[in-house]
Amino acid sequence: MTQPEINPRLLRLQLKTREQIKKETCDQAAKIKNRDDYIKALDPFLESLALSLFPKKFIEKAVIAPVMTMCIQAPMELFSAAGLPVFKLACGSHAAGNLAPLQFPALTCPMIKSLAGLLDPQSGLDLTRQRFVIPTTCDWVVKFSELTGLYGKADIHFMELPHLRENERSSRRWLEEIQALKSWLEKAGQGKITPKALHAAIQCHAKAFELFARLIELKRSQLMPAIHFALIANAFAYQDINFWKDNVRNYIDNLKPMENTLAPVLLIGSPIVFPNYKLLHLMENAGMAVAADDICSLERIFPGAVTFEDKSEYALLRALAERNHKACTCPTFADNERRINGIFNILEKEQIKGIIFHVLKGCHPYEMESGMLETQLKKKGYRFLKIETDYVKEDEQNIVTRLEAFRRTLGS
Amino acid sequence: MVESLRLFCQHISFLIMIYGGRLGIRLGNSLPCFTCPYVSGCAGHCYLMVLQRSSVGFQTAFDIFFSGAVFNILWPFAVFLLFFIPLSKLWCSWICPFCLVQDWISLVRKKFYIREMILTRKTRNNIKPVKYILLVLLITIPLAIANFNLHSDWALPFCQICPGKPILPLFQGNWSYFHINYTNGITMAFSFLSMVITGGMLVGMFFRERFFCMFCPMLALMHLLKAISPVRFEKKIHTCTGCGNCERSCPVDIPDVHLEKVKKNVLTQDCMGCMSCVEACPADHTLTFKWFGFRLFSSSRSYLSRKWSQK
Repeated sequence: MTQPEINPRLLRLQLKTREQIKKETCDQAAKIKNRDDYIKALDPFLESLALSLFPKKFIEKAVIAPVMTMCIQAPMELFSAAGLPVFKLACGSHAAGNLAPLQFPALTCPMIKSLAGLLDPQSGLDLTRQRFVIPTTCDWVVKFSELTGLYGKADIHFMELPHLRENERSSRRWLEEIQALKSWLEKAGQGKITPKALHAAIQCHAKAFELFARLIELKRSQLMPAIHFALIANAFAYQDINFWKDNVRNYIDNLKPMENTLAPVLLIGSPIVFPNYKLLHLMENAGMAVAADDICSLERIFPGAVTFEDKSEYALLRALAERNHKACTCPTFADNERRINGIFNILEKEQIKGIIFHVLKGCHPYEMESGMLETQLKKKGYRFLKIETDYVKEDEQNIVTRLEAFRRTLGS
Repeated sequence: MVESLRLFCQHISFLIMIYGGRLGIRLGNSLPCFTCPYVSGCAGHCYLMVLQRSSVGFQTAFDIFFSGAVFNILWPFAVFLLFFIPLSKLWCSWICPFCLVQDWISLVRKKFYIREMILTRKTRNNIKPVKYILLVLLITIPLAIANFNLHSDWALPFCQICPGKPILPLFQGNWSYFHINYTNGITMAFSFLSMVITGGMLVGMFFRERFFCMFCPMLALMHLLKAISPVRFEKKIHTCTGCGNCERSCPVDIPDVHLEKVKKNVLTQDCMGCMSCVEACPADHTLTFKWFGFRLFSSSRSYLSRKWSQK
């Protein structure tokens, strides 16, 4: 991408912002490392996440140039089978948002704004040489490439996500999208993706899912802190799958039993991405533990095991397609009435009484569904608190006061 | 693993049903599965044949139905119920030898990485009545022979076209049912139809799992009697997230379990109790097979993650 002329004032802002991102990352890392429950086994996750805030460095360090993806609809197994690493486009940095182009609307989803800042052309990252896979989930994601000026310049593969999950037509359309992604990855990667390679990748990810399910159990039994879980889940998108599995095994082996004194709550809503762990810290401060969540960057980052009928290419692709479409409860779907079932399921099973709904300002899909969920959950006698925030720190005191009041309503 | 256990049961029952007679095992003529009487030395016979026979089945004059001789018809039915009631549709996926033959054929396809033929929901819905039509015909044709002078070569109409008749005797080295019977027009038509259906079914069974089961009149008969069965297949509506794993993993792609949003009972007419859907369900205790109220097998996320990481 040709770099536009830049005035010295803007250049200073960019340098200053990069320093701020660095500081933000270091502060968050230090905050996590200073916790009593921190264990050395978390270091690799923290390192990968810190590196994720500097895409240029991340790409330089990678042996094979990664494909940048958004959301969870593009099946990771296909990238593995193509031998291509992935760089997840998700960012929780407040400082990075300062570098977002000026044409962004005032109330922009903070994650999109922050991502736009992260991919700022002045960062030295040659975006024209990068490859992107973008499933068309929410409006922000759909317009992302256009808003950031990537459209028409970078190699972008869009996956048109059907916003209906339960009819055959949309399933067929999404399967076509998955087949198209496979062809695109074959061109971008190391040649043809054979059914054997795809099956091996599925198996590899299924083993990772097995470990992830174990982590979820540990978190739900409050044997591991939610911050640890968030680090591990977030880092999944930036590490080689086998490296990630080794790190998780190492973590489970070294995990120290912790005292269970916090009130368990369910966290749902907009994604929580490193280094924006503000809400997780505040909830702990207010005496609550995220025993379970329904967040696409945390528990839902693994859409589940792939159940296939046979090992033919069609069956494997169909299984992947349906796992990432029908099984996904992203609020951007139109027929999403059964999303509440998953939430009730967790609440009943884990005997959780309180729900905290996290909405990032500008994250319209979650904002839209919050009212509906609140009504349904309150009708069943659950406590519900909606926290609308962004990546700023200024509202922390206000949030913690509300969280403490909410904690008191949950009883002992 | 349920799948391994089911395959083990199927193989044991196959050996018993096909070769058991030679070891002195006699299970009678009223079995609710495809143990074909054309297999010499089998352990028992399929009840569908009895249904079509004279004096013990529907090839009987109307006046007999109103006499004491009706017990000759009711007795095999009572024995059928005795076999059917405890296991219900579990007979299909766990015991039926013809079901196993279909699974073997599918296995060959899977070994060659050949994709399965997918039928749309509309096509599957259109196929559903066929098994009931066959059930009606296998009752009405024998009635017509006994009461309306239909030619006696129309006897055992379903057995004459059933693909089990030529295929199952193959396991005893008997190829003799692969032929055209030129005795008269009726026998020729039946034997020709049998060969066409068998050929079609073999192709269908290769490209589509449990292809024949979609047309099986035994399944229709079983479904009509499901109310008296202790086997229940239940779904917790409020915990299903609609992932669709159940529909995809079902050998006959039953969509009803996935789409059901009101009823608890999801034992549909095509269900054969293989429990593949329960194995593939990621929501804890959402799908459950029960037997006399006891939980036989229930879905669980940990089971799912364990199973599919080893597949």
